[in-house]
Amino acid sequence: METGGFHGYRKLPNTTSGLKLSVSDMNMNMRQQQVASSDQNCSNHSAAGEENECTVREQDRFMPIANVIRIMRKILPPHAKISDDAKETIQECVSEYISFITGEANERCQREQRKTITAEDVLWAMSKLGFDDYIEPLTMYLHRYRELEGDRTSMRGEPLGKRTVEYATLATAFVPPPFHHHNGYFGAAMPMGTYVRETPPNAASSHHHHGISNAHEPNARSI
Amino acid sequence: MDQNKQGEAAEGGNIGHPAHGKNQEEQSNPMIAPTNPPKKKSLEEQLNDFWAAQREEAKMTTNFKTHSLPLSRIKKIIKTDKDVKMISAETPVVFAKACEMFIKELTIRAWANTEARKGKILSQRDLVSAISQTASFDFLDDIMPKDAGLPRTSIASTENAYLNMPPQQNVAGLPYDAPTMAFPNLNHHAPN
Repeated sequence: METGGFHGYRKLPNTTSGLKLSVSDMNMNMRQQQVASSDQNCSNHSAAGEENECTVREQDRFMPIANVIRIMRKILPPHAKISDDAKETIQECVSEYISFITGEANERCQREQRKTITAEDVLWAMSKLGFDDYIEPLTMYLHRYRELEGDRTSMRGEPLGKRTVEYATLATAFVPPPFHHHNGYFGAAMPMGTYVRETPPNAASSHHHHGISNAHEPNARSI
Repeated sequence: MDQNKQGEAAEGGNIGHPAHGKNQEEQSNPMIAPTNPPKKKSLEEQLNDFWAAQREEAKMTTNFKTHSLPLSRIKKIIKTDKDVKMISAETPVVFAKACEMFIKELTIRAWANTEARKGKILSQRDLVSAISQTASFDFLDDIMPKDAGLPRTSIASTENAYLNMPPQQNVAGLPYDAPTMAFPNLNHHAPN
């Protein structure tokens, strides 16, 4: 059984390329402060105590800011400007989003006594936590991924992917039911594990106060 | 590791997926006449167009070797939760796409606030407002500044920001609290 831990990653990724030097200094200064205030972060290292390790670990807690800004600019008007504090806030929001979804997906795995979080667990968690609009595009994206990269995935010799052989089989067998906008549960029977169709008794569904009704186009469903 | 190479390549400033042409044009239209926009789309219309574009884009994806966000970094963030044992190879791929959509949705909502206050720069308070107005973003309340006083803003801006904020934030009764990562509050940052 492989236990994923943080390995001694020495090289600092150049995540602030393109930013001004003063901004980089400010970011590093803030990151240092956050590192100092987070004891648990330091204790995560097996070879604990070294300041450089904590700094590296802190860098890894956020998405690279250049990638985040690039995505934001795709959706903003061409002349729009983004303040530095907004850039950092979005970085933190993305990490929080990943942890939020992962926590819910992992709880489901543990209830069903499984050890590996699958893409289906992630999609299930998103629908449970109020991200219904994400399910349909992500389902299509996942199908395209399996269609184009499925063979490669099963042969990829990666520690985190030791069980990819199972999921290659899973990918072959998985046939999604017709997608309903607010129904995030996959009704199709899966060859492995047990995916319950019933809503968990204590499931707290988050309703959109500013509900947006999407008009589903028939074309959008064709896969 | 192939995936790590992909992740590292993405970190090197790799070009992401091209923006959806139709979406780009529609987004640019309201800004052609900034003084008197002939017809400005409502936030709801923008989001409807956004999700329709996302569905189309997801169907036509052909390149999975480069992701808009590095998979290696996504894995590290997932692994910060020590309860997580193993993840399938597809999980970071799905997260990369999900996070891209999350960033875009949050940006659309925040920019709507920027425009509402006649601002020109998307700032932190626009994000704070967007998050407080969206139920599915309630989980972010813990890492947002609590008080109206935002760091690195002048007193006048602070007052303005306070006016932009709703008087009381709605807190959804989500049972998910304990595993949340304890990010330090932004107020801990030293003011300029």
